Amino acid sequence: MRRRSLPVLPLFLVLCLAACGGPDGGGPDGGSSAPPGATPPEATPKAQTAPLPELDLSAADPAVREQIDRSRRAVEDAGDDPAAQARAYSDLGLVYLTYEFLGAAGTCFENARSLEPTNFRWHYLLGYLEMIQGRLPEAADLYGRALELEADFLPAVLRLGRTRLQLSDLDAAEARFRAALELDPVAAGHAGLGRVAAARGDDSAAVEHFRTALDLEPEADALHYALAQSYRNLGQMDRARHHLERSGDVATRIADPLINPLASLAEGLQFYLVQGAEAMDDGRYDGAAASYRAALEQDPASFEAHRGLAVSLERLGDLEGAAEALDRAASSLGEGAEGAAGADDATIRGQRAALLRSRGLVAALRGRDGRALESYLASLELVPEQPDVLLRAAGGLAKLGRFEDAISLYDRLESLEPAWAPAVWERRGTAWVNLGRADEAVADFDRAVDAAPEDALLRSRYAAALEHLGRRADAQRRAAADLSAGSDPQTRAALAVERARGQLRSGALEDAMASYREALGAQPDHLPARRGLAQLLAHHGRFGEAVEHLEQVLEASPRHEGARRDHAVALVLAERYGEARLALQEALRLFPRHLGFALTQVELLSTTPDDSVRDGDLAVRIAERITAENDGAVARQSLAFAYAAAGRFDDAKRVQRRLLEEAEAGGNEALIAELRSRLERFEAGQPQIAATPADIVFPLVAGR
Amino acid sequence: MSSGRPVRRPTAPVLALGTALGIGAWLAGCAQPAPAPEDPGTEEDTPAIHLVDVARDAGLDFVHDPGLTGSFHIAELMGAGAALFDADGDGDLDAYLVQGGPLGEGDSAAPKDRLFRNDTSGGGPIRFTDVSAEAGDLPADYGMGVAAGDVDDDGDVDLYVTAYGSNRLLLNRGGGVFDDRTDAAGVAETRWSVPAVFADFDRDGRLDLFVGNYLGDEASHAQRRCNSPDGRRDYCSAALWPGLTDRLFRNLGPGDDGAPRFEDVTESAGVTEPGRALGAVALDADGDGWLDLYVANDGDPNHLWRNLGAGHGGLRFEETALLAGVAVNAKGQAEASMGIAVGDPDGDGDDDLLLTHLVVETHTFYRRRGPLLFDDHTAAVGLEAPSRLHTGFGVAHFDPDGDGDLDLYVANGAVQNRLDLAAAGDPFPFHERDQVLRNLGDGGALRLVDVSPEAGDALAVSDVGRGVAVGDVDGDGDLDVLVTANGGPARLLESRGADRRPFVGVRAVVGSREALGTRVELRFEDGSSRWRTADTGGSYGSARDPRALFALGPEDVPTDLRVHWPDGSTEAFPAPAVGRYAEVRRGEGRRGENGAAP
Repeated sequence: MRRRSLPVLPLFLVLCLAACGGPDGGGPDGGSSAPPGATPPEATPKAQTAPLPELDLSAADPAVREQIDRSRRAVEDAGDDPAAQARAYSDLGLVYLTYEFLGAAGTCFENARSLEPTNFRWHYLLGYLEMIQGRLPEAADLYGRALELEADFLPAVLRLGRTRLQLSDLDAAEARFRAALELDPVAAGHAGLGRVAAARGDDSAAVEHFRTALDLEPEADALHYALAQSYRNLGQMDRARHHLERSGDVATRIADPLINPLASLAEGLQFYLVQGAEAMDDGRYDGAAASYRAALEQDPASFEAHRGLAVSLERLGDLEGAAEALDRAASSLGEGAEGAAGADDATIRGQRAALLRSRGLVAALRGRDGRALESYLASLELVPEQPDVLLRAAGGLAKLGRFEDAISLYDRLESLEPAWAPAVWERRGTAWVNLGRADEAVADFDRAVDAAPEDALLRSRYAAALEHLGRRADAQRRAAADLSAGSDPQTRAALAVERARGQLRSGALEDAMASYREALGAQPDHLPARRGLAQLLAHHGRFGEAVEHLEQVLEASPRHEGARRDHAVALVLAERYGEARLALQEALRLFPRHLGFALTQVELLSTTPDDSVRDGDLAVRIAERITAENDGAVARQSLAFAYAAAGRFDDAKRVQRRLLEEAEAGGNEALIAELRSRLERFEAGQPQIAATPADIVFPLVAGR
Repeated sequence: MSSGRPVRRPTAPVLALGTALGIGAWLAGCAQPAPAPEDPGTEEDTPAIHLVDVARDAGLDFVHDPGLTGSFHIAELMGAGAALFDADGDGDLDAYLVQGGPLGEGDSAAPKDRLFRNDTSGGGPIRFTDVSAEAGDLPADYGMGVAAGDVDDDGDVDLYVTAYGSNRLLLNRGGGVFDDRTDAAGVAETRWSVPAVFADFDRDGRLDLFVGNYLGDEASHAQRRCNSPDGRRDYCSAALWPGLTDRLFRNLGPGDDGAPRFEDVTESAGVTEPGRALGAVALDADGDGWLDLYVANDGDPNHLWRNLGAGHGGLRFEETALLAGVAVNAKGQAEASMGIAVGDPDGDGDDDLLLTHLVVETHTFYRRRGPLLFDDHTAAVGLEAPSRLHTGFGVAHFDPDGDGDLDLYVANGAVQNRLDLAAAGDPFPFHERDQVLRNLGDGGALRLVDVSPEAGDALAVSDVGRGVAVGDVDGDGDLDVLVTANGGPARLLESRGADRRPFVGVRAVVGSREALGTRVELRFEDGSSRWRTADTGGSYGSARDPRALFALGPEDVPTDLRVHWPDGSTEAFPAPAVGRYAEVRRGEGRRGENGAAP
């Protein structure tokens, strides 16, 4: 279960507040003594307003307490103007609403309405409050009163329509949605009419409305589900499936100037942590990173914030930033506000294990297999029963040729997590193959194939293993069976791609290229095959052809992040710098917070030999923006290049010297020599010019 | 709908004036005293719903221990369920209560699950006796739920108890004495499980077992630190952890020692899509005579595993929930699904699905319109408003007003701070009141209305409701309600509103055991019919009375029974006598050609 925004007041409190003129001014016993941490009661309640409730905020975040105190003081300081007082009550009510103190929010909005009964806003806010608590007839009544005072307030029209729909009052709902569309042809209005039509069983009409809504607001992907249901009911199953595949949970928007600001009212460490977690759940990694940074402003030692930031940066491709955040998380463990609250040994051990696991993941993504393995093993030392870490660690050991150790971990995983056994069997079988232990390998592969008899790729790998073990006859028998099983184009393509990957691993690049071409012959839209072929072409210096294939991939899948980066790099390698700059611009438009694309753009603008492309000033602007949020070494190196390209050599030298000092502390001689030569270049007043950016972030996988 | 015959729509009940006033006054915010029990023998209109908590007087003294340590462990707020089943074979319903206790293994002082024997004597008050000490070695795990079914076909009902830890198969060796045969039977599961379902999925005459698993990444369950929006410490959202694959075990029949053996067929059956399962039930969703499986997932789309039947080499399923319309609500949103109620509240002859959800979400009513076709009718049946206020868990249909249509009981209890309670100084701000939703359907338009304030003082209790198991505990022809609360006493709500109403009860038997999943159609003189499903599954971690129960109105004249067995066959039986439970055995009814309805 996940906390939904704005849950509800317990029934008995709601009823008391709504019907009995506000809370009784105390806790459950109605006493007058304020609980610890309570905000002070209002000294002299206004004659026409109910007294503000006293809330026990002793366990709340100090920033939240302060915010509420501040808003309460604003009520007291509002003077005698009823409109100003109403506004102050409303502002306080919105703050209460932000933290889900719905009863208190209701008192505030009621007071605002008492003070200024002709202002539609207060009726509307009260209606919203009723609506989120499920009191739908009351909500509809209040929205209606708001509209009597302000007939053109579109959010009220739409919300009244939705409320009527929830009450199954279809005629009234339809009238409101039509009225909304007369004010503004928004997607929410059409979506509402679609739901009315669907509720009446008129799926043809529903489809028309949902399609119109989707045209107006394509990101509202929840509409695909509604469309799918209507198409299903019309018997158009292919269309239904098409839309089901596209359905998500983003609803149509209501641009609501009174309610939408709620999202920006919340303050405090915990709020930002929750906000960050929700953004992560929704896949909004840039938003998550921003939330975790805001949390760190509240508590720089927050373990959760550092760790959340690390994960979000990893998802954004900023692996260096992620690694740094993990390091900070490690040093903050037990120090932040959360730790100070008193975590026991088991908790700390678990947190350390989770941290080490995350470090391993990031290290693996950065290609640092040794460090990844070290982290996984350390994590398992702390908490041995982590199936995914066991699997990763075993994989890491196998990668390093420590097959017997890997098998030992696979054995542990098999007994720990029976559901993972099929994955274990294949991997352990491969490890046995590498040890030349044919009987054990065959036993494991047999079990894996029995568990997934339709997995053609697995059978293909089994055949390859048999061949490796010298059991050629068995291998050929299996390959023949695969051929008959793989008669459809998709399976043939998948088998060819799998073969290509095996050939790549064994260094047979020409064979791999042929296999990729075979895959594309069977299935021209097989994007991994096309991208793999492009990478191999680039490796052979055939950059132009690589670019063509990558552009086909991007045409089919514009948000294919890997293909975007390959494309940009291939253009650089083809010395088509202007196009590379445009490609990176497009990549950044699609992935505006993607650090890798941004740094590559900075380096291209700073170091390209093409004078028409090089733009030091622009590079500096971008690099300074990046380093304001990310002071990793790669980002600062890019900044140094940018300064040099802009002729700001003093700045370039300053940044480069610091990088050199840090490298000298680390002792990596090759790196030190490279950084020193760059510093000498800047000292000589020369920018860094290179045919390819020196620290280009994304090398082509197979090419460089 | 399985029959072309007209179905019986229950007589539209008249909304009593007192009820109407009660609702109005309740909406206005003033507490109403529970109405006095009506005299069921003299009232001509629909009897009131009147539930009375008799647990204490009946000797059902069970208090759930969540083992709170202050660590806000995610498992602490999730237990536990209960079962009403005939443990000792004496024909009445005994009670099994699943216990929590301290989290972690090896605590010898951990409290155990409890078994209470039903000692109610004919017509007397409900009486239970704690027989846990004589019931064998009952589990002391951190329990979650329980399923009931006779897996070894010996005529005694066995149990499968799920846990945050190790699940247990408790074989009933007769008289309500249990042996733990988990490992020998091959049904061990150590991941976090909540729901379990017994059903004969492969139609081989033996009950198979489905186990729904909840959250993975167990090592971190106690380590995540979460807070309410205002910063106070709170339980974390389940969304922070990955879901798990569930398990399906095929019953292979007895081993050398006579005890059953199971085979884990999860992979080969294709039941491999992970989710955060909290509820599960077997039903024939596509009407092909093979039991399918519906799984309620918390925050993930629900699963409807369609049983592909005999043509696919035995047990084989495909996931069909999205297209069937029961994966997500009408808005396309996956909800925090907890409990499931299966039944035919709209009286159209087929089983619909009702799921309980988190606060602010609604409970969702998926009305069946045909084989594998459901629509979200939540708003149309009036569920939007009453359910948005609550976090619902256990849920079950019953007919406490005896008007012939199915009403609803929902156990409510939050899983995260209710901040208005917390800000009022409540030390455990998770409690809520349960709800009774009365079916006021008229002419086919199902309408559920929250009548909790008029349903008795038992509904005024605010606790952290979890399990709901309904059953005719006192044998008077109406379903009573066993409700469990996290960290609180179990309650037994005796239904008194429809006492002494005429009824027909049916126990569907195959071999020596209950034929779980059987649909029973009671046909009437006017050509209409009414349907009930004989099963123990659904709700939240709980097992219900498997008998089919029909309340009769003054104009209801039953003519015969059609029994639609879970193996796809149908038999006709004469109308059972009114006022008692009749046993119908598969193979003893009248069949048409090819096993079809006669």
